[in-house]
Amino acid sequence: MKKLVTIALLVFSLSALAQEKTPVTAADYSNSTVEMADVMRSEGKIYVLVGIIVIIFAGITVYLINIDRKISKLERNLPS
Amino acid sequence: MRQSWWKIIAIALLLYTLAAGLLMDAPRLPILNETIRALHFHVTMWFGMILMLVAAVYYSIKYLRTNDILCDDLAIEFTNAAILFGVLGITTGMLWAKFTWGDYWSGDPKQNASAIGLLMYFAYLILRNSLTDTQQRARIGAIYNIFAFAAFIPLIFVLPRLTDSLHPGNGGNPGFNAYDLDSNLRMIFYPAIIGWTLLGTWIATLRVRARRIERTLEDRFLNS
Amino acid sequence: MLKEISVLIQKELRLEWRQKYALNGILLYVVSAVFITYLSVGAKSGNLSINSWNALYWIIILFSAVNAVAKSFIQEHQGRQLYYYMIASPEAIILSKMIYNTGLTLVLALLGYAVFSVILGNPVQDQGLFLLNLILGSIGFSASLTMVSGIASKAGNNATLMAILSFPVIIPILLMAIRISKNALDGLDWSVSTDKLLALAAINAIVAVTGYILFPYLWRS
Repeated sequence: MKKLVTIALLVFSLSALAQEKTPVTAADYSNSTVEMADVMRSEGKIYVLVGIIVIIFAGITVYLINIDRKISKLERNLPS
Repeated sequence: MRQSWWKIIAIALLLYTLAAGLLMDAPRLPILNETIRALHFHVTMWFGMILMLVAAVYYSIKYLRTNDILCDDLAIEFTNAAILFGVLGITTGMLWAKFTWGDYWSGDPKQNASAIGLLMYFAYLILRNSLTDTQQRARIGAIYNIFAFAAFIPLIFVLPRLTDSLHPGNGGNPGFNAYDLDSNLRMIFYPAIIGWTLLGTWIATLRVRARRIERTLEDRFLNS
Repeated sequence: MLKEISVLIQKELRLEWRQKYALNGILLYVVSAVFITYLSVGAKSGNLSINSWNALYWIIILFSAVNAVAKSFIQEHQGRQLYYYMIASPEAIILSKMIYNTGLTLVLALLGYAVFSVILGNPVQDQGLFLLNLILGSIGFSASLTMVSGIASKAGNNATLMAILSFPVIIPILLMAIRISKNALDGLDWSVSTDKLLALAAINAIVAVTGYILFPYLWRS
């Protein structure tokens, strides 16, 4: 009973989520009046940016994997 | 690497997010311009944070039910990871806000709500640290965690909608959330949410495992 | 259950009446706080803008409520708590405390309102809405503060802890109350405030129900 009331209240508060929004249309993709970084893209420099970010992410991931393996090793050496 | 398949999925999804989020065609919208792409990095932080808080509340409830200290480990570490994402979200949000709304802190209700939410969870950490007994810390921490979450949900979802927000469609401003996501954006947005959440979960589980090793060592030290 | 609650509320009232200094202390706290505000803003009656009146009023009520409710668990020492533990169910205890604290907060809010009206002027145009809002606000304050004071009492009765734990939890209630109170001050039509009143009631209900469900776990430890 208590749980039902709680859930009902939560649903009630979530119902306030509904709202009006402007849909994004196909026209927005070809709307050339809005300035975008088109030059950078055409020169291909965006790939440099993607490369940098991906390398950083890869570095962090490798580091995380290393920690993971180290902890696994510790777990194995500690039969409980 | 225990049960590594979901970690591989996380990495793959995030690599996809980074590449596609920057390279794919984005809708050309006034004021937002190229920053629309922040959607895949900033907004997903919040979704990841909320999802991990839900996990923390789940484990808190489970702790109260079973009194299993392992559940408490999961609860605190999920909260820690959620706080990390929350801090990253609020910082990136401030940066984005500076360029679209003109101010780092523009008094937007959603921004305020998330700042209050962070205060709540910092208070949670202080509460936990003020208790010394492990079982009592876990129990009271779990109680406050659930209580704070119950106060946080109405805050983050209801309040912004009753006032003028620079965020979603209230007040007719050109900020990002005035727009409904179309399928192209969703194709990156949803995988990004899953990816970031999995990454957070990974970090959380690593710390949980470290905690368990620490506990085993402590017990062994006390028993020897 | 109902009988238990009414007995516990009577007990609270009698305790409060016996140690009148605590009640008088908190009442004096409200009056002094309002007077200090009056002196520091240097405002004559009616001189203060409506927004500041509203904000000052609610901040004073917030701080007095935190101080008043904080003692509900902190005041009682271990021995007496153990005694309650044996004779009453935790649900009855939390409900009786919440109801009692609602009354206490409401008294504080009304007193604060009276003092505010006398020395800072009374710009409220819709008394009915304002009072309804005060009642809802008191329920919300007492529901969340009672629970938080229970938590803080388990963590070494620390006043700082009570403040940092309660403020973030109470902010949604405070913000809603301030917004409705603003409408009452401006004398807007009730239809403008209905959704906010509903939201405030819903937040109160969520907080009270969560407290009600969680308190037994807290009490047992």
